[in-house]
Amino acid sequence: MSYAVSEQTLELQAKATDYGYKLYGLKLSSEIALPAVSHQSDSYDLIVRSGEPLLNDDLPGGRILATLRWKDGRGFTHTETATGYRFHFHGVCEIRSDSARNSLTAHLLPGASQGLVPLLIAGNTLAFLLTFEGECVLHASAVALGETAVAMVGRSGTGKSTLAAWLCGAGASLITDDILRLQRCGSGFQCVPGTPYLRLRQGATSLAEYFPPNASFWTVDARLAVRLETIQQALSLGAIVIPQPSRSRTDIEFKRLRGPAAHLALLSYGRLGALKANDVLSRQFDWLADLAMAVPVYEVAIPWGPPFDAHIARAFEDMLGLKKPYAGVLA
Amino acid sequence: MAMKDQLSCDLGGQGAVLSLKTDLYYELNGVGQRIWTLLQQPIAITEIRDTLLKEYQVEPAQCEQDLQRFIEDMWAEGLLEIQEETA
Repeated sequence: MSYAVSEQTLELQAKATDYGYKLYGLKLSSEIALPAVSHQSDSYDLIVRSGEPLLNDDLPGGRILATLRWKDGRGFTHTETATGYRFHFHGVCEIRSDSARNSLTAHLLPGASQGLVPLLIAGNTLAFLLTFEGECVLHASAVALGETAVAMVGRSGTGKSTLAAWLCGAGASLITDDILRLQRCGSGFQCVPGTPYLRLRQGATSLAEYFPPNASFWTVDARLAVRLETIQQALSLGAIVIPQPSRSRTDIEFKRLRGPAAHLALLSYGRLGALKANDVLSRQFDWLADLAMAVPVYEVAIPWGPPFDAHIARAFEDMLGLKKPYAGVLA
Repeated sequence: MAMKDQLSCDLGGQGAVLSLKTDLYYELNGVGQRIWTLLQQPIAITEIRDTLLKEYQVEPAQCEQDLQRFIEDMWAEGLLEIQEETA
């Protein structure tokens, strides 16, 4: 498909029937329902459309900016062409931006179900779109303890969402799950609110009991999700933690990483392994260096859970140096 | 001078270099970071030595020996391009 000028002009007009959202600081108008906070506006940063299905699963042309393939064939290949970005999710869909990067059109691939498309738009696509545009984006969940944010960074399956859910159950407020956009603020960084949904891994679904019954539902990729009230203003990032759950531990221990150790940890646990364009990689490398210098980074050895003991909440408050009235917010 | 296919940064007096060829990450101490900064453009090794002797309290022989080893290590890792000096 091509993006003729007349189509673009037409596409960029938000329709009255569209959903309005705010996600990672972007105002979105979408004809596809997205897992994001509703937000109506007179103007939007990005218009999301559903396009015609594609006839095959061929790799998109252009310069490869990011790619990752799993053994089972799943994965993605994102490219930059003369007409914008192409976010290709093998076997599922291709999402195309226009050259001005202010519209996204989703095209299903043959035999694919459209159920995953909203997750891929609100997740991987926007994360890489912001990354390609030079923004600082972490593979992280974040919660607010009082007026300070703490981000959980780590590989998939290491407990980012689990810890975020437990902290929210104990009184913290959700900022985002899985994708965290950061913006420089003075000498530090602030977290930009993201998705209001926490997706729990198998084994952590008991955490849903902390929240109202109608807040939980099963997603199309068989994860139990919990919808929470999210913080809607950007909050200062007080610390970054890298959870390291251990079945043999009974206590929690924070180990501060400094300088190159902190920088390497942030590089290791991000999505940088997928980046293939040196200009994009270079910008993220510099962002993470600034972040490692500005915000304390901790490896956190944590007992396996859930359930988690209440003293873990106290330990997080102590680590952030919270003082009243925020100390003691966590149950 | 430093090869182009690497990324480097200053981390508060220390430094880091990431090789884009091998994905290996190298930590630099304060002096290493200073040398790496000087290597971002073509420079004679003697000029680096003289700069270090001005900025650090070190015996000239020790400085030359440590600098030589640093240059050799970084060159062996494919991070440096070395040209013979022309008269």
